[in-house]
Amino acid sequence: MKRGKAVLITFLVTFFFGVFFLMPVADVLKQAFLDQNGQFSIAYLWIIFSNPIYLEGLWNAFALGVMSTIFTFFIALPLALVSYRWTFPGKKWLTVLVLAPLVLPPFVGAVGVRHMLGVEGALNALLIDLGFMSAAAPTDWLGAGKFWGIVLLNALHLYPILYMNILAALGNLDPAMEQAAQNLGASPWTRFKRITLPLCMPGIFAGAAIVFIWSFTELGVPLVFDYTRVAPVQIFEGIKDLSSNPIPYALVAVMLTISVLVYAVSKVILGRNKLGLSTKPKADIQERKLKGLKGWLISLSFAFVFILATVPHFGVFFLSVSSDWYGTIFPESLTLQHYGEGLGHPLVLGSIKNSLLYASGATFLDVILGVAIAWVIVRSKMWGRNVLDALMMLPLAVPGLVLAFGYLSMSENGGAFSFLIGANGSPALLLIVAYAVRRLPFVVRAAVSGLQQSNVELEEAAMSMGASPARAFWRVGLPLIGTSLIAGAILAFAFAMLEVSDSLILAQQAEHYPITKAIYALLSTLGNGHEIASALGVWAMIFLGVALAGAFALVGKRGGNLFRF
Amino acid sequence: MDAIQIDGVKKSYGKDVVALKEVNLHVGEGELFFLLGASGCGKTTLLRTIAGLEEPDEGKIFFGERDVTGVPTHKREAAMVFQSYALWPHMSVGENVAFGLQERGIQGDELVDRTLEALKGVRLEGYEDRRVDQLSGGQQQRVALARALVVRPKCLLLDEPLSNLDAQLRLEMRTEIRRIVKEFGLTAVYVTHDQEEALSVADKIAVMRDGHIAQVGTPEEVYRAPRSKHVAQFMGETNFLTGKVDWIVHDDHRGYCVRVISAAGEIFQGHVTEPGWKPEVEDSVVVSVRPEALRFDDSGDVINQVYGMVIERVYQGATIQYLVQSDEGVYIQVSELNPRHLREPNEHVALTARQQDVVMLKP
Repeated sequence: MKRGKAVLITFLVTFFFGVFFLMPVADVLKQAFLDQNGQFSIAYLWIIFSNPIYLEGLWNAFALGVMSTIFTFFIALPLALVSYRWTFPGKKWLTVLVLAPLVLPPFVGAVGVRHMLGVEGALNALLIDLGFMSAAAPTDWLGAGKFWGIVLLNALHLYPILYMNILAALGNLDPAMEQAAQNLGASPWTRFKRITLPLCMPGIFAGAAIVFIWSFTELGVPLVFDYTRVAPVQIFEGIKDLSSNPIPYALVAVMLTISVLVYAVSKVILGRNKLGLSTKPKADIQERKLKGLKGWLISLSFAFVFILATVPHFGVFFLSVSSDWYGTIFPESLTLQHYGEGLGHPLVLGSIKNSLLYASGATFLDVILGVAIAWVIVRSKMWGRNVLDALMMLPLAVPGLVLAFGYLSMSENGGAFSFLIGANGSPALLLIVAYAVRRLPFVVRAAVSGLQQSNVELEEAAMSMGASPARAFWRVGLPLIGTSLIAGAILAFAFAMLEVSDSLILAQQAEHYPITKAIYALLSTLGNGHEIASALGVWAMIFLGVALAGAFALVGKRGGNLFRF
Repeated sequence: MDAIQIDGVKKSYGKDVVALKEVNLHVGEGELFFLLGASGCGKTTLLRTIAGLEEPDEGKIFFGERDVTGVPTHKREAAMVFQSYALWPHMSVGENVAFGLQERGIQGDELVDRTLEALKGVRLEGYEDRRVDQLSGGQQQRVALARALVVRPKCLLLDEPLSNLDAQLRLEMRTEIRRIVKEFGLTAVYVTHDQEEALSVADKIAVMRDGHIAQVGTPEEVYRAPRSKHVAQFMGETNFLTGKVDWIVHDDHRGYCVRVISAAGEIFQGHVTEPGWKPEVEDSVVVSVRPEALRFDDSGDVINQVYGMVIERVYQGATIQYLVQSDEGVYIQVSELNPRHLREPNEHVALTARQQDVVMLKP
């Protein structure tokens, strides 16, 4: 009976997944490898690898990925270690604050950065004011340092993923492991090097792989920085003549291959060492209290990371309230008129409404699918449920761009997905499904970790008291995983609200634009487009900041399990 | 309050792991029945099969006249108390207890009254609004019991309910459980690995080993007349001596009794407990005598007497334990209650047991 249900759920989920994930990916690959006559061909790949511009684009994307991951690591590791081991003034708030940058869209932040680091930006104005720079020959920071600007922005955006991963790995360590080493005479450094770090490696690799894939395929930031020699942007630009040009597809295929490879390698490394990672540590780690100056120094460094990560967004905020910000340190005068104008702008209100609709639809779909899948993975004894688990994590390895492309070509010109396009070309269903597929891993992980942590006997007890299996799950199983499920859902929702690739590529009429596409469109309008875009960005950030803080307040320290893939 | 009948139940996991080989068992109405065995013997699997949490591969289970083999857990009316108690942390004590009643559609005053009554039954009046994690281990255990009892189940299933408690509390709770089971007239199946717990409160005990039932009987039967070396050893300390059958003393309504002579010439006489096994003259047998059945006595009686030397002694207050090496070289445990005077190491002694305390087993 239980097995029957598990098989049915698996069948339905796999079907959904096959249609809305594997098919679009396969479609992209097909476009990349079939020539006009439908014959298999590597001609397009050859074009890419023989064209220095595409090669440079790929190389730059790869370098961005690697450097962003390294930078991320150096921000995340110290923060995670410190917050695992010590308490310091304001820890409760600071540890939540440092997570906030994850949902602050770097794509929006980049707008702020441009205004601060541009030729006529705030930094140059400051340097000129202080006399370090001649007003006649200002430095073009972004012209010279676009690459590092993107790396920095990526790192400051993505470090929370790695931070949460490492923290979760540490949290799942049985403290007795370290205590045993201590008991045998190991110094703190030896303990860290020989016990803690090796045991955390799976967590570090898991996080690093996601950070790499994310920054490798990042579209929004390079786009706003006008950094055109990078593969994702080249792909995006290539859409304009999509029907005739198979090159973007071939590029997408190359990026997909690299991403999947990286993900697979991290999985192999991850799979090797499961020992010592008990899901429930026997004893709680003793957090030591750092008093006085040391404690405050730690607090300061947390605050510093947070402020550094949010500087671009403060820039956005200033931009949104400035009447004129050009060649000065701070805006000359402040005004709220852009918020007012924004509300009157046809794109703004519509896009907020659209994004809310798309994101909540996707979240709803994710929660239902996620709970069902998690139930099969954790509670049923179905053969092959581990395969299902691995399958559900695949969207993490596939760049958003790839999926977006698949959806695009399958929904155009009466393709298989054209039924998802509503009346007057509304992409609502298409975007809901696209968002849902890409964010599904987060919800599945949340539900799985919730179920794994709650004892199956609790549900069995309910059944032995006379509750049917469904009732037992509803009254006992679900409430117990409720918090982690809500946290996963909020996370999925937050990411869906700020999704870039699908949104930019799939929403084609202005009245159906989600927030990100509206911001992108506003950025390219003349006049006060930037300011209104910033006002919209600020609304989105406030909204998401609150949502995320809520999510992590709900799950507490174990929130990191949401990121253990 | 139904009898439970288990007919030829088999259960395996995968190809290699056989949890239950073929179990036949009858638990009488209102009986407090123990499943006793070492870990991994299949006792918990059997209990979960009775509860409907596992489905048997073969065989049938009856509650009274009703075949419940394919019936899902929630329709069996068999309430279970889990080893971990499995109290729901998101509900108060009262809500935990009321759960089963709510699932049976009981509302209003009756719901409240029966919940409070059940808590009173386990001496937890006034705890209904507490959170589960605010209770001590013993209190949690009693909430789990109340939660199972409140639905007036056809049978009560207990899976090592006391294993998480400290020794003192264990003693209190096991009499408490017996009181409750008898007061409600419940048919109860109780799983444990603690033979002392089983001996002290059970009506009947089934000793399990490797997925089958080794012996069923009253505590006295399984302790005093174990049918195999394994049961004899599992039920408490015992001494095994070996010898060959010399004479079949009697084979009638009083049972099968044999006389055995060891290699050193000691003569033992006792009952063969395994039904159907009738060792012939010259067959090898194992003689089992419990330490407390031996006493120091050199009255010159030749039957069931062993000579030896005290090697070691352990004073335990109420009893004293001696390790004696027989002249044949076998080590023998002897325990003496309320010892009058202590024997010293190297002292030569003679040990005697009554015939009814000597059991003859298959080697």
